[in-house]
Amino acid sequence: MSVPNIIVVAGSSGAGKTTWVCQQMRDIADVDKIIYYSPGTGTVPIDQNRIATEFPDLQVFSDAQQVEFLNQIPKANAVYIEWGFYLELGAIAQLLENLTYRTIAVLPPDLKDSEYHAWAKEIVRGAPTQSSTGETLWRAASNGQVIDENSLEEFWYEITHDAYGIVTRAKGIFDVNDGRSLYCDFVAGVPQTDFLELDIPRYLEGRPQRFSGLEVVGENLDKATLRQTLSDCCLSDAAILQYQQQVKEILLEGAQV
Amino acid sequence: MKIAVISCIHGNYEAFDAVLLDIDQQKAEKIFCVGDLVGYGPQPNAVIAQIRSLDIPTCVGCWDEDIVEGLNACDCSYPSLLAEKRGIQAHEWTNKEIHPENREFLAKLPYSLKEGNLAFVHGSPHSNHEYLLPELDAFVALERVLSTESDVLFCGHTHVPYARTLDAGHIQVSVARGEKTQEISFTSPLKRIVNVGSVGEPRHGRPNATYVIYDTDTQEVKLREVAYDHQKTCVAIIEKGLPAIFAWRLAHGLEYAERADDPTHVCTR
Repeated sequence: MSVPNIIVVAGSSGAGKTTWVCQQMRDIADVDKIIYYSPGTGTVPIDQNRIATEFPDLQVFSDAQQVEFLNQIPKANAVYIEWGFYLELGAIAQLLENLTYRTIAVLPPDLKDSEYHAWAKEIVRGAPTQSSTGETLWRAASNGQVIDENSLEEFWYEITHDAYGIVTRAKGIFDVNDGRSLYCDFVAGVPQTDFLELDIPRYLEGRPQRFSGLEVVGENLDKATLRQTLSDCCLSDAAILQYQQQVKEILLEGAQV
Repeated sequence: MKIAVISCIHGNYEAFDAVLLDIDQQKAEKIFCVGDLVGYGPQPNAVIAQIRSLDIPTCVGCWDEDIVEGLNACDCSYPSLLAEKRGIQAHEWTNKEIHPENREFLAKLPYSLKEGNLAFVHGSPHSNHEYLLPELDAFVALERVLSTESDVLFCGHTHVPYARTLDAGHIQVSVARGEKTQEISFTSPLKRIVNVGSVGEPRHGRPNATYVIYDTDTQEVKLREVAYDHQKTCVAIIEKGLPAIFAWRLAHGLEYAERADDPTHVCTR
C-alpha cells in the first residue's frame, strides 16, 4: 500500500485556508481518492459542507467521524487536513502520531514571525486579514430553518458592519425562501462578494433536512443578540409552505413552456 | 416668505430640538410638519408636546396613524421579515409609552394640509404608505401633484430628501364613447415634488437630521442637514429598552422603517 500524501493547512482566520484547499482539488483528476478533514467545527461544519457541494466525490469527514477518517488514511491518495485558527498547532502531531505530513500555513502578507512561521514548511500568501488578539468565536447551527432572504441581507449587512461587535470574519450557509442554499462569506479588509448559491438541489418539501449555520469571529460579540436576530430571520411553517408552493408552481410552468 | 417643512421626527427629541434651532437661524416664518412624530425613537411624548406647544400645522404620518388605529399596514410594506418584527416591536413600545392626550392629538391630525399653492402630505395624496421616490414615473408623479390641486407637493416618508421639478408636460387622453372617440388634451404647468427627508431617522448614510426651507417668493428649495448629538438619542434608545439595533442604525444614518420592495405598492388594508 502506498503512503498517502498528507497535507495539513493552518493559518489565521479568513486568510484563505479553505480557498487554498479548493484550488488544490480543482487540479486533481480523481478527487474520490482524496479525503478532507477539518476538526473542531462541532455542529457547524461550514467549510466541510461548502467543499462537499463543490466536490461531491470528495470524501469529507466531520468531527464525529475522526476514527473513520484515521482508518481511511491508508486507502487515500492524498489527505487534506484543515486546521482552524482556534486549535492548538501542537495537537496535530497527536492526531497524526507517526505519520509524515506536509505543513502549510496560509497567512496574511503582513504577518511576521508568528507561531505559524515556526511550524510551517511552506508559507502561502493569503488574504490581508485584520485579526486581533481579543477575538472570540461564535457559532450557531440553523438546521431545519428557512431564512427570509431579504432579512438575511439586512442581518449580514449588520454583522459585517459591526452592529454586534467588531467582526473580522463571518461565514454561513443558509436555506432561503425559494429552496436554494446560499453561502455567505466575509473577511474584514477584503472586498465583499455576493452570496454564492451552492450547487445542490432546491429544498422544497418542508423544513430542510440538511446543514445550515453561521460562524462569526470578532471582538466584543453580542452573542445573545446575534442568536435572537438569526431566529428573527426564520420563516414560520406556514410561510415556508407558501413559498415552496409558489416556487413549485413557477418551476412547473417553466417546465411546460 | 420662508417656510420650514419637517417630517419623520420619530420620537427623536434631540434631533427635533436641533432642527428647531436651525429653523430659527434660517429665519423661517412658519413651520409645517408632514407627520411620523412617533415610532422607533425614545421620546414620542416630548416630540408631540413640542409640536403642540409651538402649534405647528401637522398632517398624520403612517406611524401616527398606526398608534391611533392599531397596526394596519399590510406585510408588503416591510422589506423583510426582520424589518417587520422590529417594526412591530417599535410600535408596541410606542403604544405603551404614549400618553392618552397625545394619542388623542394624533387622532385629530388631518390627512393633508393646504397653504395657497402648496400641499402637504406624509407619503402621497393617495396613501400614507406610498413612497414618492425621486425615480417615480413622471406621469405618475405629475398625477400625484395634480390630485392635490397645488403647484408644490411636500412629502416625507422615504427619509431621503430631494426636490424634483416636473417640467410642463402635454397629456393627451383618448376616450372611446360608442363609435365616437373623444380626444382630451391639456398642458400641465410646471409642478414640483419636495421630499423633506427625516428629522429623527435619516436614511442618507449620515446621522444628521434633514428638513427643507422653502421660499414662497423665489420658489427656492433649500435641503438642510443639521448635525446634532445623536449619541444622546442612541443612549436613550438603549436606556428605554428599545432594541439596541435602532441606536446602531440611527448612528449610521440607516433608518429601518418600512420600505416596500415595490415602491408603487399602496397598502389597501
